[in-house]
Amino acid sequence: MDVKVPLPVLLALLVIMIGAVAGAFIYGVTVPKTGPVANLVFELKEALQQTEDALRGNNPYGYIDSNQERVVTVRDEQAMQPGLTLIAAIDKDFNAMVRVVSSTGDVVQEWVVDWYELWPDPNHIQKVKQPKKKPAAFVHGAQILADHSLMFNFEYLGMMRLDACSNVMWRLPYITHHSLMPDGQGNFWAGGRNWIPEEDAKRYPHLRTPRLIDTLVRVSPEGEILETISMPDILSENDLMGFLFMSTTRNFDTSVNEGVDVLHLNDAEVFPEDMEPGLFEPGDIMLSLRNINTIIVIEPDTRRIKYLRTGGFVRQHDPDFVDGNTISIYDNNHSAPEDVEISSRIVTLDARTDEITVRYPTETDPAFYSNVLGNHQLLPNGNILITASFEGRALEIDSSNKPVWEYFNIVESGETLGVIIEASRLPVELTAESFASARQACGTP
Amino acid sequence: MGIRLPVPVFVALLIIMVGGITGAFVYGLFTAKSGRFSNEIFILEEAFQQIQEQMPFAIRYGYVATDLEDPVTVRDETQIYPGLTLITTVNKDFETVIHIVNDEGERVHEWAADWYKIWPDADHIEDAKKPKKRPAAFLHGAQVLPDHSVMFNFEYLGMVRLDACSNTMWRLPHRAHHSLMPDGNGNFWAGGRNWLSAEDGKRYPHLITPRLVETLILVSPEGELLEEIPIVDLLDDNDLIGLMLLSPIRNRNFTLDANVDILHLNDIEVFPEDMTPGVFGPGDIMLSLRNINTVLVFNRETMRVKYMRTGSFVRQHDPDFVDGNTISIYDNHNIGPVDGEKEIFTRILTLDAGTGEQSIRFPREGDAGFYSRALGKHQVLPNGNVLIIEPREGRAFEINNDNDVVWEYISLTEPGKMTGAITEASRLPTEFTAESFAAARQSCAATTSGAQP
Repeated sequence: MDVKVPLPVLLALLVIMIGAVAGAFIYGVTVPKTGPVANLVFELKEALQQTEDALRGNNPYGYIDSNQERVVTVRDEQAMQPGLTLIAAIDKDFNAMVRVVSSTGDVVQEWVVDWYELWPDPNHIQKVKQPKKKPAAFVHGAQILADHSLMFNFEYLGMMRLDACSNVMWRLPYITHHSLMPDGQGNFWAGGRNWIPEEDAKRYPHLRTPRLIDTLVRVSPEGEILETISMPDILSENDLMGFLFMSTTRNFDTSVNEGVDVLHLNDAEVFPEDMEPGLFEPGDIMLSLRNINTIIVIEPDTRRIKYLRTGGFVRQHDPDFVDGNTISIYDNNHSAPEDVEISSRIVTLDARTDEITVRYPTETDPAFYSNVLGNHQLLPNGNILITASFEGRALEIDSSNKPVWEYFNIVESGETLGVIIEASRLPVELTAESFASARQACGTP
Repeated sequence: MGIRLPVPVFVALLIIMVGGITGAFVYGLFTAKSGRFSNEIFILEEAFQQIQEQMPFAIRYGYVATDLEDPVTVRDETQIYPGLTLITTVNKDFETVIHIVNDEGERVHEWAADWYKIWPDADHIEDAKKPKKRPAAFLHGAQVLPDHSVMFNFEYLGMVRLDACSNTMWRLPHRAHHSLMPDGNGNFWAGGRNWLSAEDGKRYPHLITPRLVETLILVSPEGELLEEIPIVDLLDDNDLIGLMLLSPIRNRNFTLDANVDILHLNDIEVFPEDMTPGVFGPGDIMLSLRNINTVLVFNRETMRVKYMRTGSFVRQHDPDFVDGNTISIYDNHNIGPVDGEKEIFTRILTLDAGTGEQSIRFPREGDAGFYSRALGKHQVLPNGNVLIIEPREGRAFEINNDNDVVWEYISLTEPGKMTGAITEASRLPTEFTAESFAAARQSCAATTSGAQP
């Protein structure tokens, strides 16, 4: 059977086709800057990236090529800070997991945190934003409580607490992310994300809605939200509206699309009760805003920003209070494309003078690099535990920068490593035995 | 007449067509990302803009309809700070001009400053970036010299000096822009723009090249380029590389297209020799970086950034030293679309660098607000008055210490019909008078042919 197409119609079709192709091209060129469909474009680009990865045999996001065969490559027991180590990572089944390991790399406790099993009904997440494949989300802010249970965030999905046997104690259906940090009064501060309320949308006319904005949430160990602080509000109350306007460089129109992550809160840190105060004092909260290369310290009672530093680091993570005047920062230094060799750094910032010094690596130390993610922990004996996330590696250095422990998250020996989202040394009260008895108490030996 | 196509062929054609359209769209996406056709895209965008402007009743950018007949609408003689006022604006033929007016609005002097007449052979600018229509480029940084000549920038095109008869004394073929500021030693600092050197390209791998980056240029009154400092180097040498990386919000691919204007330097201010030092002192230079809402002060000798303030203003222009510890800023406060309704106001901010505190000088409660999305200048006068411009409205106004408007001038391209944008207004020292300009014109008319009255 044939279709009879009159010649003028055929010609018209051809012209339309050429026009449509040209139109589609022009639209494609201009849409990322101005189009209201920028979100869709973003998803499309992600999908294309995944297709390209699959065709080229690239690792999925979360796996890394490596010929590493040994889990622990450096171990100087004398020099290490004592204690078990918590590792939040991606496992061999491409699931998110949290495990507790000894210095020899033996696993003494493990939680498999499979989103699909733990949260089969995530009605608080829009359909399009619900995870479609493994691992649904990375685990962030893992905290082990006194009863050996685990509290953590599924990145941008929600918070949960599991007992030592991986039973769900509660789930908090609120979009939480990154950090989870004891507030010193038995509760926790975490990164949150909330739909911008109508009246706020009027205050920030350049933020196209509907839009999620970063919040800071205080959560009880029972999973109740006690307090929510909006990040745009904190900035505007402190006459710092300009920080909401960094991601656009157009001349006239300063508005940004719904999906543009203007701040990217990635850590909330509370000044420790037992630290000697200086410029900073107990109760102060330090926030890291990655997309504007900025760290701020606020007094939560007055909501006043008492300290702020911009531009001394690139895409930083995890600032920690060292003392009343000093901050240590995991500076990803993500300032180059992937094919350029570059090192992330642990830097020390003196808040009184604003001076920045590189703590690690100094000139003779080997580099480490993670373009995104990353954590570090200043240990009581002066050591630092560094998570080189996209090297699938945790590294402990002593005060003279000598490696004293190195751990790899091996997925397939000699082939593949899994990303480590965070590594942290646990207090010595937590032992293999104490985890075993906690498991017994909840039913699995 | 027609063509018979088998159904599979017809279906295949349809699929190819849909595929072609999708492919073109996707190609377009990645092209935009790579910056490959950015010049062509720019031309296309310009063309669209021109079509829009050719539409019936369309008013060109920089012009606003008015029924005003007299350029001066407010004049409180006892309170106006003395002196003539320099106004850079456009005329009814879309040419850029510099006017000197007295407080009654009478024009006592004028420079014709049309790009096409002054610079018909601008070989230092690529074809795609050459102006296509009048006004070719706004004028910025106009400085009147003691001999009554004027030095200024054609925005992103070049710097020139004209004598009082509008004769070209020299042209500097460098993409100078925005500010032009005496350095205290007889030369001038200006905004520049130059190709990122191969060496710097390696130093800043996230900046896709070839790319123009912003520089500070030191220029002699004879038009020689004496020194050039890339701002990216100044930032990097001060451990502030993070300031170059504020505009991308992507998670992983972090490179910046060649046409992304990451900083947008829009002012250079030199600490005045005769001002009492405080946090700031002689040798300090203040920069305004609009696209990162940042003002910073560095010392010329040490090249150390000694002060920096980010985020307290939105798309600011023209920070000025008020005293050794205080800065006054024209905060455009471009916080969003206004769509005709003026709910958003530009502000004159006072920033105390000692305490970090800031306050709004104008408008305060009860004052009539003004707004400028882009562009803007203000001048803090010796008696505390402030001369402010509202560029698109073609308006310059002077307020006293109580924020009362004591003088208001509107740049009329045609009285009763149209106003022209003002890019700069400044009160001149009282040595400049109608008579001194007339004398200067006479002396250049005597020495040159073709001089203008």
